[in-house]
Amino acid sequence: MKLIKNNLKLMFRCKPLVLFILCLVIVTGMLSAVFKDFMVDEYKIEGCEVGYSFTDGCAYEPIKPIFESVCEENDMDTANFVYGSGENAVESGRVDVFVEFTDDGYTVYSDGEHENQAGIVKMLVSSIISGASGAQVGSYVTQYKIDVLPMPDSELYYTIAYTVYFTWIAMIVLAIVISSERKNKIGARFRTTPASSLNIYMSRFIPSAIMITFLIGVGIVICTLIYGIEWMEIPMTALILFLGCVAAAAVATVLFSLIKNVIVSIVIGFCVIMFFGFFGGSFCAYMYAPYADGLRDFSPIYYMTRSLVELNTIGSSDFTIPAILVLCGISVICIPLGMAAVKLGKEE
Amino acid sequence: MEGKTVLKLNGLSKKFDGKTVVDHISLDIKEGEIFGLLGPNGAGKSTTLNMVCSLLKPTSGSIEAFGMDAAKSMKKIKSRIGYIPQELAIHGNLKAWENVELFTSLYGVKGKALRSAINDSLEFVGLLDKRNNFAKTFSGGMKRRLNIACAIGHKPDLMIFDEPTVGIDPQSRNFILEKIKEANKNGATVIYTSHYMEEVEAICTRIAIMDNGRIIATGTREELVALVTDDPNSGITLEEVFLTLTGKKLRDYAGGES
Repeated sequence: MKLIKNNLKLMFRCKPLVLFILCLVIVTGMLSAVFKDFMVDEYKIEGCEVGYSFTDGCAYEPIKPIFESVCEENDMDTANFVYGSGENAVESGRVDVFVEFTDDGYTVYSDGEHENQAGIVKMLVSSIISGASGAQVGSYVTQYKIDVLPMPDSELYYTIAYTVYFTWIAMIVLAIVISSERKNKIGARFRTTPASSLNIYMSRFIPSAIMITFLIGVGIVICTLIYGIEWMEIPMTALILFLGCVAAAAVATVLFSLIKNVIVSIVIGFCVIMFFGFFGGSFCAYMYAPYADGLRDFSPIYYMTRSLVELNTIGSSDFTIPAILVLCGISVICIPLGMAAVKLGKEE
Repeated sequence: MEGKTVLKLNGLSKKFDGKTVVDHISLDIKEGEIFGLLGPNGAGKSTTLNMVCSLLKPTSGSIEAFGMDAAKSMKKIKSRIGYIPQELAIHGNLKAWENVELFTSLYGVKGKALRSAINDSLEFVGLLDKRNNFAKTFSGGMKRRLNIACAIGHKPDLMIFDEPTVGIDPQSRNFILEKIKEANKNGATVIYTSHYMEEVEAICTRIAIMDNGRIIATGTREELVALVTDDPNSGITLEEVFLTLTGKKLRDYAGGES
């Protein structure tokens, strides 16, 4: 316990760590400001004017009342046009999207500004037609409501994304203790005492976990106050962030115990974090990141970021349990690895 | 010396990449001794001490301490040894008492006993009034003394000093030597290595001279002098004995002291 306490003191006495909190706040502020408009434009799906027309005796005409009803439910106003006027109606700006039904199928027109809405209309029509083909169409109407999920604003997204990212970056706090130990040959002295590998591992892991939690806790409180973040799920958010801090400390302990050169450990740590951050939504909002899901699945940052974003915008997330499992798994796996790394260092 | 054997080395050897650094040495160190280990650079002194402290595994041979086999009971043995390394193994950003607390607690000393041990150790090395000062603010001599305090908090039965007076002023050196004698009077057995012959002459009750990984002579100062002269009143110094036995050739090794 005394070793843990004194290692923690060494970390708290490292004044440059204040810069870490400042960096978190400043980076979050800068990125949320830069991407504010982008996030609003991309996430907001507004209602629109939808025009439609049927050819005479069109086989799809019976779906007309359902189509109007479904559009209404999705904040779209409808207007019936004479067949053949679709393109003209869109070009003249009378409607934003136009659907032309023929016996062979349907065509959706839209201008460049309403491509998202056009996509929704296309999906609605497709659903109505497939639903109407083998059942009583009326019973399917309520299913066509597009469930547009609430999206985070840039302040919330980047506060979460960079808090998660900095949670992992914060593993450098262990370098303070490790570099002091190596510089002063304290590791060799430890080996002349009855302290076990577990003692040494815990003396690195526990203070790191506490220090990372402290730094991230202070950072997120400052971000919340400055950027006016409203958290929907505070207990679960706190739990996931805490588990992230513990996992980062566990990884740091393995990394710094395994690699003898502190600088090399830091460089490797940064590269790995950047790699996972790249696929985890730290640099580009994960909703728009054009990466294959398979790559994301390897990133604990992705699980944390997505879970926290969804928890605090929707109120729940399918990624919460996976995030907790991944973080606990990392921490558990790192205990024997870290002890083995400490023991390896002892025997050299 | 008629005391019990505290440390017994039996045919101890250590090889690094095929090169023999310690070559089948055997030693008996008795309770209450201040045992000096002398030798030129690269003689194998530090390697021998590192094996005793379990920093290195012997290539062959065995170590017994306090009647226990080191291969089987190293943890118990470690708890009774205080190792004062050549390097200053202290955290500059911890206060003097925190450094002593950190190392003493590793030997299982807790609570009131720990607090008492911290004060006793700092008082022993004359740093009690500086207990709340950061180690990084200390002079070289003070750091050396703190280095010693960190190793004696658990009241070891065997203290191993690996060149503890390197690079410090004569006052600090004298203070440390006096304290080693005091610790010995209080019951600790001491193993002491140094390049300063006068130090070894001043405090050691028995001396071993090592060269090329072997012990070439062991005995009291008088016994060692008798190896090079039959005249008991020759006035020959330990340094002259040392140079006679090990030669005057320079012993600088690129790898440093081994």
